[in-house]
Amino acid sequence: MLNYVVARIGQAILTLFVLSIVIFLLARVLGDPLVFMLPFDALPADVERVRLQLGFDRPLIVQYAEFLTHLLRGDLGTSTRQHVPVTELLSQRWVASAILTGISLTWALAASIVLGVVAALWRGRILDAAVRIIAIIGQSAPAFWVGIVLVQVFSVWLELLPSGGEGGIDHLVLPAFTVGLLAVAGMTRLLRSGMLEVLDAEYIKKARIMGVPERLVIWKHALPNAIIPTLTFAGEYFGILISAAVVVETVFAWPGVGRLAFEAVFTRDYPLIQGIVLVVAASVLAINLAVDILYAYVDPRIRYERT
Amino acid sequence: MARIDEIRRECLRGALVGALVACASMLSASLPATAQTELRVAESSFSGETVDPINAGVGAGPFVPALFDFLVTMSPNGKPAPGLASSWSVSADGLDYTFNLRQGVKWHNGDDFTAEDVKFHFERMKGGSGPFIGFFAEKIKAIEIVDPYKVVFHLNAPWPDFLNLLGPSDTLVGAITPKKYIEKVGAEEFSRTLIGTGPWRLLEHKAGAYFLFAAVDHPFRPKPSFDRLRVMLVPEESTRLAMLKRGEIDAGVLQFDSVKEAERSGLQILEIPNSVLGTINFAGVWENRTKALNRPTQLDNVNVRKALALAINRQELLQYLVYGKGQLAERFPAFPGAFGYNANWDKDHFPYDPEGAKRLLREAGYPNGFSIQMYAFELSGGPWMPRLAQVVADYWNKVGVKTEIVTTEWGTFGPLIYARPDQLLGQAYVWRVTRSAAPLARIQNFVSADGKALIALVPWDKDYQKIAAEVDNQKREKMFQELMDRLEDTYTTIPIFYVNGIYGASKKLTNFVPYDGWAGLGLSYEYFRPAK
Repeated sequence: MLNYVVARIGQAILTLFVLSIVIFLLARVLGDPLVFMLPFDALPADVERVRLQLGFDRPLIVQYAEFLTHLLRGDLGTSTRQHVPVTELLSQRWVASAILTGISLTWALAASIVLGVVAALWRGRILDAAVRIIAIIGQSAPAFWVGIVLVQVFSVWLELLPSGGEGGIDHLVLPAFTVGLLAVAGMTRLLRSGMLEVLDAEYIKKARIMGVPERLVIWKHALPNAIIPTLTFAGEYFGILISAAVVVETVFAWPGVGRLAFEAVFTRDYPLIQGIVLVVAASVLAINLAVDILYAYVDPRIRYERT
Repeated sequence: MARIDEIRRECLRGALVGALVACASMLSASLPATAQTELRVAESSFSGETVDPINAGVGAGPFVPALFDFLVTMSPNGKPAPGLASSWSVSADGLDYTFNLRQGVKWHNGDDFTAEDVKFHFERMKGGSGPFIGFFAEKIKAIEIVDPYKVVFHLNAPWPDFLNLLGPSDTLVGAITPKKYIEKVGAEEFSRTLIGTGPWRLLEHKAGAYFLFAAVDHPFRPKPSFDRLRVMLVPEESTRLAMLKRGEIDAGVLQFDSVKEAERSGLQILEIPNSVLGTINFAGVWENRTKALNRPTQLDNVNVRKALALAINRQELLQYLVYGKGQLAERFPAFPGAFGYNANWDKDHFPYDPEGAKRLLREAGYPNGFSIQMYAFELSGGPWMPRLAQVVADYWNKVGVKTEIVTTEWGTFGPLIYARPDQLLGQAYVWRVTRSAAPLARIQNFVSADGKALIALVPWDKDYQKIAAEVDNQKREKMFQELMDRLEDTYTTIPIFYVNGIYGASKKLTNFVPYDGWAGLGLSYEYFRPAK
């Protein structure tokens, strides 16, 4: 097990190194950040002065070496647009994103467990059909449309919840629901399929024959086996939710990393683009590693194979 | 079977409990309290959120004027007005500007404002990246402190736009920053804590979310009626409108499409006259340029350009694109009430005459028209720009000029036009100009052969230099008007309309004082009063 974890960490570090080169080059392909920093009618001398100040006149290899040296010290550079260290910008926005994504994923997982089990138990009945319709709507409705409709219904018409911005728990309800809806759809369908497959398994039939209470058959024996693909999906979904959240953060004025990433790309803020991509990549890798370890814990067969 | 029924009952019970919890939390969620002592304003973009004036672009308009003061500020009619300098004088040769500074002005940390701060700020400015810093660096020879409340700027050459550029109209770099505080804590800490002399003191800045200020007594600006000011970032238009309707904000920037709905909802519309001028420009079409590159284009012929101008129904554009919130434009880049504007200009220099356009095209040798590309993109203050391009393309299609819209964004188009690529020769692009108190400085790149590549409309360097060096304001203005008249007759740029800046606001907000042409509320916060 320890060898497995160490090998996975090594792979993650190599992935991040390659990614640092790719994102460094790709950011520069996007265009010149000075068109956003200076007005159109800035003097050519002004443009050159700022270019020299930022070090963009140096060869790319020199710029990358400096970037990598700082990265190894935990310094992601300074935003060219905001003149603030990238780590500071990220730490301010990361908390907001983590809260939104964490709550979204949590409610999505909880809801998909309930919906998936309900759909499997009531297979072929109205409840099953209703759950599948919810899943289809969740997967096909665009997040920005869902968000705007929710604001109109719950904020403007019913006046129950705030329209946007940060604040108390009530400010999280609509954005978390919107972000999580996408995940609920996929996870519910996955869990429903898993439950249907597992409920037909021989060991489940044996458990029933042996008189195990049905509650335990479903929740202790069937669900842990059925949920494994769903957990893997949830781990991969974390990365998707971060990027999908940019739309939701825009609609609800939630100050998260998604919106920051969009602005960074739009304004060609190289250090910020690099910092966000690397931090998000590191997070996704860490989450996937955690899921794999959890996977091994849930399914003892994997644990024994690895040892 | 009984066991499955039991499980089903448990699932149903669990679902009901969950629904009840959700309802309880929604019902107990507190609705936002309408705080009469907090003015809440929503903007669509914070640009860079950099509030240090030497690095701030005009996107920092919502914050810099609230926190800081300028040596020479702007009055609501757009003219220079006393700021931190209570008065000033200019030497006969236009090389020395003496400013008498107000006494008793304090920084937000209690330090006194003196001439040391002024000199420190302009020297520190050389390391910044804000607009027009190059002008200041090039033209200011030395800054002399005569006494703690008198400072003299010695220039290298006469600079008639100097006073205007010290104020907030074109750039925010003139907002004075504190010497003692910055020397004590460093520039990076200053950019976080931001001490100024303005009527609003920074309480909190949450990146990507809001700036929160507290009102403070001020020696020469009105004391705000609100105790606090919160400027929030709400990028989505429908969310801003929803927040306005719900009373979560007191004012928010709106696009023209939302105006009718805002009015139907009982909100008021605040208009800032003539904030932006929309135009259609032709890239690098003057004869010298295309001859030099040996790339003649259809647009080299002034009658072809005139035909394209006649094909545009500007009144219709004003009415239906910006809902009449503005007026037709006469000259590029003049703004009503600003330097260089002539109220007697012919209001119909570009009549709508599609038949005349077709005739001119025939006479120019294009009876069947030709093809052209129109680059469409959006700039801040110009959300209508892509639509303007589409409608103008439609007008041109109707007179036989087949127009292909190239949808792009500024990050891609900007470097393209700087680099003088041949592909842009003879093509058109949509443009917008913000109101300027120093339009002569702004026009430099458009009338200089060394100006930014293909945006340069005509190579009139000598004319421009002569005007820029003229010290007599009246003479200079007349020369500038003549230059704009000549530019108009080249049809290298087609001014379409001046557009008003639009904010939706609660009817509980009164006493709105717009600053003519200054897009934004940054100078108006302290005037707002809650309705009784």
